[in-house]
Amino acid sequence: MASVTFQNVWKRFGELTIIPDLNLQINDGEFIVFVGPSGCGKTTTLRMLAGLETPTYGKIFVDDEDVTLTPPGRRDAAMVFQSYALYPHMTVRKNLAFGPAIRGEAKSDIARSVDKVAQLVGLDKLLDRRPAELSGGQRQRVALARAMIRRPRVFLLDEPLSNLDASLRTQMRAEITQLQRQLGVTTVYVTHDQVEAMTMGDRIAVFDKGRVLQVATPAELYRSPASKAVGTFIGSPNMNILPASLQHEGETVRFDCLGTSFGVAAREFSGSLPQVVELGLRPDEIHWTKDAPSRCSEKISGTVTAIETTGSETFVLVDVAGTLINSKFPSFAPIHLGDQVNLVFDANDLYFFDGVSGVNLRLGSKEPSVV
Amino acid sequence: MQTSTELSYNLPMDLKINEPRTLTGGRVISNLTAALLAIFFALPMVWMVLASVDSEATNQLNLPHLTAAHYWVAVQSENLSALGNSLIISTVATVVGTMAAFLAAYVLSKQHIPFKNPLLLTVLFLSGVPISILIVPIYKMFAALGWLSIIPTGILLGVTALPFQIYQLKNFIDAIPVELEEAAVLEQASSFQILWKVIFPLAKPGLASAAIFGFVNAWGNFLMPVVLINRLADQPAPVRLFGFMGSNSINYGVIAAYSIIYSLPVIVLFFGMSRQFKAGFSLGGAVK
Ligand SMILES: Nc1ncnc2c1ncn2[C@@H]1O[C@H](COP(=O)(O)OP(=O)(O)O)[C@@H](O)[C@H]1O
Ligand SMILES: [Mg+2]
Repeated sequence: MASVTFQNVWKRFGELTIIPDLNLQINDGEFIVFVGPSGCGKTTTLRMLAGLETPTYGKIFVDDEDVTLTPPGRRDAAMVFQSYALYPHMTVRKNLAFGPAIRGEAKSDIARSVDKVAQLVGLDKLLDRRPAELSGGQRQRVALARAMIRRPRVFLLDEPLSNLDASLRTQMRAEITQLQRQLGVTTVYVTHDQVEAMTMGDRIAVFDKGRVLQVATPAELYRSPASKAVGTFIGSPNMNILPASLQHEGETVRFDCLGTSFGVAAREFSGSLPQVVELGLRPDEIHWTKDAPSRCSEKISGTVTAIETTGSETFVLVDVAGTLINSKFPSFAPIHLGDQVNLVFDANDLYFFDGVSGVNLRLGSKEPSVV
Repeated sequence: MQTSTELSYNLPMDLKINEPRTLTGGRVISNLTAALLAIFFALPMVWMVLASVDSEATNQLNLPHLTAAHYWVAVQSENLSALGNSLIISTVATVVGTMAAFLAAYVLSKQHIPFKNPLLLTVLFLSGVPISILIVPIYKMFAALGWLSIIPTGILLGVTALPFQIYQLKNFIDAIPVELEEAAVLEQASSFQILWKVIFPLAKPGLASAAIFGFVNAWGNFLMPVVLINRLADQPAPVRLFGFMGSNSINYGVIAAYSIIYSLPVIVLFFGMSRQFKAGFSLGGAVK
């Protein structure tokens, strides 16, 4: 078990800067998820922690030990590769025993730990098969078991579920988090899937273009995204972004947005407000008038342009004065393409972003405060 | 309720079964051409088999007057020992060439080395150059170093196969995902352990074909041994075979019989290694 610190870490491949100045603290025993679109440097960061890549600048600490230049074998990190990287010429048993055998552990100890870990992940019936004779989910378990056969200081998992089908993925998510809580080993889990990140992580680091946008618990990320980028990335379906203009009226700021107008106490905002703002509103928080909580007082209207039904819920894309707004309707609501609909929302559910930098202007409280 | 696993259908008895036409003009012509070519290339082998048991063998294709005498001559001790010499030379060449090629191919495939591409191009170029063109300087060097004997010749023949073997093996090793090595590195495996426990088993089909190439390359070579081995008793089978062609008479029957015996080890080798080619566990399961 260990804590991990990235201190001013840069990674350049030739002239290309992939990670510019990463600073990140991972706590002892924590399950942290790196999430971000594909190609944003999550794998590269993980590989630097494993020792498979050397940071161009900066330092990496495990506990208080500087491991920046420590070879991978001496970092005591166990990794599950995106491709699993099972040895195809070895049986499951040999795959699991490979590491312990290399480290010269006694035969009887190895046999015991193989049996134990196989039991843990439910592989005991498959020990004599080759990887080619296993299903995707079973291979994934072998990869997991191979990493867990020892108690490493850190577990590194690189998109381990991305090749499984949806139902297996949901099941494995739960199994992995449960195993991690059981073992208490500091874990870094990489994924591009924000749902996976939200359901699994103690904390989530949101990556974009090699930078960490925000590190926070799932609830904090959802409620107080640091920026528009985080706000739109987290949550499904994506947050709506509404154009707005503002006017100062003494202690109040008045916003005009898609034909409705409301005021917010100026003290709500950190610092002075910029000229241009954008408002964020999650689809769950913009309602059809016929199905709205009474606190929703801001009304807008538009034309239905698309309807997407999953059974339990219906999302309707409404064109409001040229802005497409995704809104949650009751399932199988009696509406059709081209219908004129009225939508309502509560200004307290809004996020306020700087129109240029995207910074969240109202961090912290989401208490009712509309004047 | 139906108990059998096979469902029973009511087949449409009134309809004709659809059958594509198999006898077409194009097929007839292409098969005939193939058959002609096959006969053309089979004739020398037919001659070899017939002449080897014909007491009046000539360079013509004749019905044989059956005899085993040619085989009896072919297995005389000095002829057998020539085959033994061939075996020594080819084994040395195979082991030396394949091992060196394996290491070189691994390094060229997986390690960062300076001038890798020029180096690979050179290797490719060299695999097309016959070693015979260097025979004079090589003879000089071997003579000066006192190496005009069987083992150094075997090693040299192994070296002549290297460029091609490196290419063969590099293709196989290129296909092994680098994550397998990285996974082993994270388990604290040394370079040697990775080479031996991960790369080697996965490159086995490639090693088998490289070994066969190395063996056949040395087994069939005539010029190197005849120039570089100065003891007559150490000469291999191809040189011996040449000896059956005297200045005033050629013993066709013995040549045919000896040729058949001479080709047996190669056939055995192919069958022995064929399991490696087929079974050679594909990389299935290494990556998703
Ligand atoms: N060895 C490398 N050489 C050059 N570019 C690389 C190398 N490895 C990764 N990259 C680049 O770095 C970027 C980030 O890659 P990666 O860390 O794999 O992203 P992610 O895992 O977030 O999808 C990509 O644009 C990729 O092309
Ligand atoms: Mg990746």
